[in-house]
Amino acid sequence: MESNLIKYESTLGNFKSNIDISFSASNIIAITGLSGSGKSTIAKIICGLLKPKNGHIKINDKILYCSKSNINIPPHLRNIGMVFQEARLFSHMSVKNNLLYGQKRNSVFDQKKYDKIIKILGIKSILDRNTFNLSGGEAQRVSIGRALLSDPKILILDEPLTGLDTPRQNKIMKIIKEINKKLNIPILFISHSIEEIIFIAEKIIIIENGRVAAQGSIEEIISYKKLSYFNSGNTSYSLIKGIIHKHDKINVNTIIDIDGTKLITKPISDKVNSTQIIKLFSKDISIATNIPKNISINNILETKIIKIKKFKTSGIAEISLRLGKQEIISEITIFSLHKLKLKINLKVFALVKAISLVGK
Amino acid sequence: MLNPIEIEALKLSGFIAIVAVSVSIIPGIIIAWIISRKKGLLSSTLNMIVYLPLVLPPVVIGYLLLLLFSHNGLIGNFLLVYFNVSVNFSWKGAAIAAAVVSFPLLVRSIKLGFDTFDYKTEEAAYINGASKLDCFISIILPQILPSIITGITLAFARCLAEFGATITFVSNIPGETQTLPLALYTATQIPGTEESAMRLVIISIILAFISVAVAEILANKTNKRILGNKD
Repeated sequence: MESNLIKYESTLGNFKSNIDISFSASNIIAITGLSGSGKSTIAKIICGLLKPKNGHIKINDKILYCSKSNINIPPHLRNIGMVFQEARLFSHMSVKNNLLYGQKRNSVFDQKKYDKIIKILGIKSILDRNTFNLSGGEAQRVSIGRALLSDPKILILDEPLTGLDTPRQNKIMKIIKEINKKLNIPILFISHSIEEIIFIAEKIIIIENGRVAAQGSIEEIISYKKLSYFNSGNTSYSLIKGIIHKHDKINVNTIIDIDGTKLITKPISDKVNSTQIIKLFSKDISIATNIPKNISINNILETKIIKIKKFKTSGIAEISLRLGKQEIISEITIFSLHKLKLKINLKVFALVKAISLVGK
Repeated sequence: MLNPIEIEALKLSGFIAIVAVSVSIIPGIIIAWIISRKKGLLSSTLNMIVYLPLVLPPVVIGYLLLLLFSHNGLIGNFLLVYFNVSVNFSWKGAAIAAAVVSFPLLVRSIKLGFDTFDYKTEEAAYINGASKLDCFISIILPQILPSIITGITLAFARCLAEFGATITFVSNIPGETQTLPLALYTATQIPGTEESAMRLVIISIILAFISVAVAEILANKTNKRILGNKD
């Protein structure tokens, strides 16, 4: 039996959710889903800011809520560290007093732990400052520090990187990993960004319409093909997994093996044989029925059409292509679809114009 | 410069205003919080009652107070029987009149503070281990301090200016209920005291100026300290 269990049914207006998640201590779990899927509701219910209709919530073997035995511990006694999208600092207090707010109410002051957290977060130089002139990244680090010093049994981060620029996001993501390792505390990381999740989490839970749609390691998740979920609006993309085959020093690139097919990317520093998650935007994949000659595109992959989905209003077709054991999606016009006489099971070449590497 | 009666009136005005505002602060904060946060019949009724003195003629307030606090009145009788206290024709009555009349200004300002307070900060405090009361004292009150200060100064200024309800309720007794405006009224009624009336007018204007200026400065200062110099 896992030490953390979040199982509930709730109704908020017309939105019903039914969640059942369990995980062990010391993991980083990512919860992801489109906006409105109910992922932030999970955080609020764990904190006790919202009460579910029924269910059972247990963190670190402590029951926080149980509809059967009528247990509903109020938020201030739940011992949960929570960081929101906004830092939510107390603007009438200095940074230091913000940090100590939760600590004073939950635990005995531990100088060693305090120093350690300040060091990990890199906020020693701003301790005496007011909170209102901190940058977004600084404020968010203080908010994480405040949560950690309250001696929580779990740290919940709800979209903590939204609104920060990329270097600051990267810095905080590294800090989050370090916290998990050095302080040995489970982290629930809620985010809609696949890049953040792949970088941070060991286990990923996809929430769709208030339910767990899929869960597992990143590698399990991408093979689920539940990933149509990630394709939202105009930024549809697919994720595939590959292994670094070799680094080509003469042509300055790296070759990645995807189930036997070779993909050429810009040079990356990771070691040969390490796993890579690759993100391919559907718009960057064109289709040809023969191998085109004299073309600048390097990645011409042999694939098979497995699904065709037409969008009549926009004149667009989404073609699902089998690549090795995986699947990628190409977005072409319905006009091209007719011109090339594409149909299911036809062998075609996917011309991949751009590749982005997500990590790992 | 000032004659003894004028000095007496000035002191009494200050004293009554201080007493009236001091006893109003805590109920003012509580009622402002209820009106701002709670929805429902109780809240909206309270809202109407609290703002009534702002729009009613002060004479009406004075007369109602007279009825309530007379020895046969609902409250007056209770005070007399259980505490042996009578507020009629005394400074206590003047303080009650000032408190009632200035209360809406106090509540309005504080309510504005509660209205604009970001409840999300409150959630952060709960999760960090603060109970509701703890959060109210350690987070909400300090954050809305500028509104409280504005409310206090406005109410104080209104107390100094109070005339109608006071004269109706507790009459115009030098040294007991004769505040500045009442002394000025007396001065204007008696021939040959024009100079005294002028002095009282000037003092009143200066006092009003000072209160409004103090309100501005304090609110600005605390605002800067709490929220930063954002504008």
